[in-house]
Amino acid sequence: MYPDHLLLSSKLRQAHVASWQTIGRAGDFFTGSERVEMVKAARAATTCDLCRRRKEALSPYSVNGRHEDSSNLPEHIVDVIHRIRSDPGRLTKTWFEAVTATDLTAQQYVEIVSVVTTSVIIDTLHQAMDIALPEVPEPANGKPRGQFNQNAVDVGGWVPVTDAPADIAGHGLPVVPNIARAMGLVPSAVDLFFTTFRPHYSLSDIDLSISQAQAEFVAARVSAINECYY
Amino acid sequence: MRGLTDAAVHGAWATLRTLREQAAATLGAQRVTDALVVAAAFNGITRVADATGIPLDPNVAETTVEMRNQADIQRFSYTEKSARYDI
Repeated sequence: MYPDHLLLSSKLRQAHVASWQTIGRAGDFFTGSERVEMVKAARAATTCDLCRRRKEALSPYSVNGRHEDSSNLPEHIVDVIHRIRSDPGRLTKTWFEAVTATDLTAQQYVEIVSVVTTSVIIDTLHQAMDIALPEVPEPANGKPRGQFNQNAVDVGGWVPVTDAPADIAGHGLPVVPNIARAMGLVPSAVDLFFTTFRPHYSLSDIDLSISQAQAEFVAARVSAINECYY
Repeated sequence: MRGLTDAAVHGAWATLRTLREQAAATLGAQRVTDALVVAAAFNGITRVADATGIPLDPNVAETTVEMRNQADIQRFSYTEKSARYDI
């Protein structure tokens, strides 16, 4: 997936290849083909005129229209994907509740979030390294398994999350911070995302050439740009 | 590092190409790469947080009230976003 000359770890390379293949296989609520279409839709959002007009508006919910998108997904799923990709900082609970009241189950929504955000990491790294985006994964046959975490709990987020102890680790956050629990309604969604994410960052003793403080600076800067509260 | 991060998140690829070369001369190519590795990861994980409305961890919520207000981070809270953007 990445040329040899790039200074990327073998762990990261292997993780991204594995995640890309996983996207191409059936998840718990979507087929491999549908998940590949999600990657296409996420990419289309970066040049979509409706997304651009929404981004410029005082409220992204004040602008209607049709997305520029070549995926074969239903329009309501395309809209979810384009909003997550193009303007994540202005998603609101009201919007989420409307989406999951009629169009999607919370489980389906979580799987979409996982696939889209995984592809964002992989695509951002490719573009940042100045290499062409990888071809979308080849979709494999197979039916969604329909498995989800029936013991997920409400901690005040929009979706139920993984139940976890509140013990605090040495770095000052819980041993299982909320962000690691956020997609816990669908364990396969957690696995996909964190397989991709883990070689990039850790809360302590980061295994990169930059210091932990430098990594935190970069992380905080991205969070500010994306208007991320967490 | 700030310039590298901003360009990567904003998708300013031509700018990033120039910055990457400049930064490599001082930081070294490996550090530039690793800064972008972290930026790419957070470009994804911030979307997980924003799309799931995940709350702050309780101890963080308790201990960062003043800092969030001083740094104007509180305006990113889900409640304030709803007040600003819902129509």
